[in-house]
Amino acid sequence: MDLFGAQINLIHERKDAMSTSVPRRDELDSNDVTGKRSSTPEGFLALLRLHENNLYKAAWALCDRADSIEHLVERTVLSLWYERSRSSLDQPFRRCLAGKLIDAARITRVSLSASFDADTAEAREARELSSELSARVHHAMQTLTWDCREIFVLRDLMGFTAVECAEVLRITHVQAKQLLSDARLGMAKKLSTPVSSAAIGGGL
Amino acid sequence: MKDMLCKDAKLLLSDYLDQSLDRATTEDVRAHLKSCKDCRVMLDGMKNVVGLVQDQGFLSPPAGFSERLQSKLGSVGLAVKDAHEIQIGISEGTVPLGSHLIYFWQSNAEFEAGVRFLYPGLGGDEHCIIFGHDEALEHVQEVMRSNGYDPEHLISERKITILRRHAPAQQTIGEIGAAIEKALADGARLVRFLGNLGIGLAPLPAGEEDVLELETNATALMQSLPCVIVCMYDIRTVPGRLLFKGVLETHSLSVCSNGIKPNPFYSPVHEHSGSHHVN
Repeated sequence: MDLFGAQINLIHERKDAMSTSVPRRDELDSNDVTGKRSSTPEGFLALLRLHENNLYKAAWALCDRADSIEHLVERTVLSLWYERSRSSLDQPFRRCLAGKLIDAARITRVSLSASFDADTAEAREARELSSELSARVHHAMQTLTWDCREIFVLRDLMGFTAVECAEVLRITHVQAKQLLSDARLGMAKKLSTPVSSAAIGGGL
Repeated sequence: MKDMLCKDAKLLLSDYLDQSLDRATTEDVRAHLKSCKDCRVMLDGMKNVVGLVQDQGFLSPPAGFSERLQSKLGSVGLAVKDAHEIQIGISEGTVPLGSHLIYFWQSNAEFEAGVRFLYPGLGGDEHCIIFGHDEALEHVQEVMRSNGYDPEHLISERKITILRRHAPAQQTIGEIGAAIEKALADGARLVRFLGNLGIGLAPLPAGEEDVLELETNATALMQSLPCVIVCMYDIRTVPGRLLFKGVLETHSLSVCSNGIKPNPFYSPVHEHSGSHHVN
């Protein structure tokens, strides 16, 4: 059994033993208010804390460089805050956050060389923490088209339904399902074949 | 129940995994999976991948991530919530943050009036970015000097940034975004961006289509930052097609000596953005 299969087994075993210590989707949704709570800095930050980890994971999946992940997260959150400070959000907080993430990732996708950030200690630590498994998964995602990568992030990392994914990406439901199918098939095929260490060296 | 081919079954595996197929199709897929090892392996592969990335323990943010994010938001972003509108400077009136305006000019006096957009932001807690081709950048600075401002001093004080137009749209947008974010990180409350995108002595870095892409992406960028852009266009030199597609359709507001007006030719961002890239 290769490393990928062994890790999958470990995760399933851990899942059985793990208590539910992270917010479930329904709990997150119940905190997705578009009203007054998100309009104050304290309320906004409190809502954000519920989604921070998923947001980081999604940004990781959409970035090709470790030192751009936190930059992408900051830009996403700031853009949502600026919008929220101008007007009410017209959708749940979580969905607005996802939309801003996709928009920010598209804009910054080819502009990472213009970033003022140097290789920070945090970025180096992030790379050190990444396991070979996550590097394999990230390498597989880099082989997807951008459309497929975005929908894979929205559906399988962030937990949106296919209908919600279509709304965030401004495509039809049919297109969303097709892209998701392509993404999952692509990921499954890529991760079923052994990858050399040199090949995953460029991943996160 | 009908026999299903592998090529058809594979297309349905994702929906089968999500349990979003109708009953009959689900049964067809299930029957196919019973007899087809390849498709079973593919389905298991999909399940493994989805299960892996959904697992909370799969990838954790690095130590200190939450603290850094909260600190950054507290010191930079959340303080801007009260700055909703700014003086436009070119004429009477204010515009909300996130606005992207056109300003047409054809005489020196009109050019100088356009530069007035920067003045309310100088000397305070705002930052100004001046963007364009070399002749325009020099012309803007000359106008500022003739009105008592010292551009070199303001640059050294990090009150203004000069950005040359030298690259295609995607790189330029990155440079603009980085300059704005640096200004905000340095403590600016908001950013005024004055762009000169008309034809200079040098050709456009990547053609007229590139200008359309730049303007479209600039609108999307501005909507997410505490910034206002005014794009100055010399109508004596801008080709008609660029004028309509790259200018009139990408700016929601126009400004002139008479004031600020909605642009009736504006077409919203998502109708422009070529969002579906193929690797």
